[in-house]
Amino acid sequence: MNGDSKKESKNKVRFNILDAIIILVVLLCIAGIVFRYTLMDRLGLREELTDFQVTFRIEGVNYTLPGFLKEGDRLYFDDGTEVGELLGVAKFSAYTKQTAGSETLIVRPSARYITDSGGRPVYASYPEFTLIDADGAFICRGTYSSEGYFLLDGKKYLAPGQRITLYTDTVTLQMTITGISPAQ
Amino acid sequence: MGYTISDERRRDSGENKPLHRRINVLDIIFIIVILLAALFVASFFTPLNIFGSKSEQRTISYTVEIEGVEAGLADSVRNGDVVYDSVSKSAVGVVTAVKKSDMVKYVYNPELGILEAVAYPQDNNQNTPKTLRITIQATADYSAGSGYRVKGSRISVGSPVTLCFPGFTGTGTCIAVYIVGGTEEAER
Repeated sequence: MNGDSKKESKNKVRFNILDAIIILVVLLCIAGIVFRYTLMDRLGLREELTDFQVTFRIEGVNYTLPGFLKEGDRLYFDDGTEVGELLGVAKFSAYTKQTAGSETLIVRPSARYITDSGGRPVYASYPEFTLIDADGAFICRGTYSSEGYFLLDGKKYLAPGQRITLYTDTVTLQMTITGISPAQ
Repeated sequence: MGYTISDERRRDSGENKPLHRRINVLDIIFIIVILLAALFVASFFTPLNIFGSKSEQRTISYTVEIEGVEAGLADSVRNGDVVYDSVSKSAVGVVTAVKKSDMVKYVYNPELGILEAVAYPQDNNQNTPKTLRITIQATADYSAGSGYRVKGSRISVGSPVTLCFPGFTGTGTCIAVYIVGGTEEAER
């Protein structure tokens, strides 16, 4: 009788390291889901996202570049994260496609300060069909943190003066952010 | 399957159950399911796109402008030349057009108040640096967000591109990208 009970206890399934790993992974998964749907809100990381209009400037690019952009083009970071959509010029300015010189950008000859023969700084423009400067805008989802700074998609810090590189399918845009405002 | 020699001995001696649990198919399936669940959760927090669109191959034509190329080297690039990848040395595309022009410098014209283009003067060997516009047709991998990539390098207007030929290499700026046979880009 005593021997049988010893045998029974020996035959019980033992808890091994693999079980511990599986349980740990399951717990981590649960923790991840809880963090995603609960804690992020509590930490203010997923505040209510709304549409924002971000204006930008690009400088000293080839005059052919605006021809490869169209309204609604999706913008991405280098890692493929979607940022937003390009706006048509009429959506963020008083310009039309014809007066702006492009469907999405307000185009003008590139200009910069240079030094003339007398050593004085002068502001001069490049000739047509060489280099251009342009202003544009895109719409994105974002929010303001409790500290007052803008977070793109509730995560990435963005502010006027910041230089970022965004991509469409066919264009690389090295831009300076000039303004962020709630979309109308 | 799944039993050790000691388990065989134990079975022979009348003990039916094995002493140690072994990993079986069910455990492996369970682990795979958990790993997939973990990847799915991770996709919410990172740019990792597990269930994203696959890339597809498209033929593109792109133009690269390279400035300051020696006249002799500029003459060595011709239609039909093969462009090679600098790393893998494999062919990436074929030259379909070459346009050469004198390289210019933009200088301030005080009378007009603008910058104007002035061509570089010839040197003692009657050479002037050239600006090359080389158009290449190539097969690119396309996926949304990743754009067009030739041998892994993104081809997009405004980005730097290095072209390698057997007798010349140079880095310039991409100034045009068209999808061959596509109507959308061709209309622009």
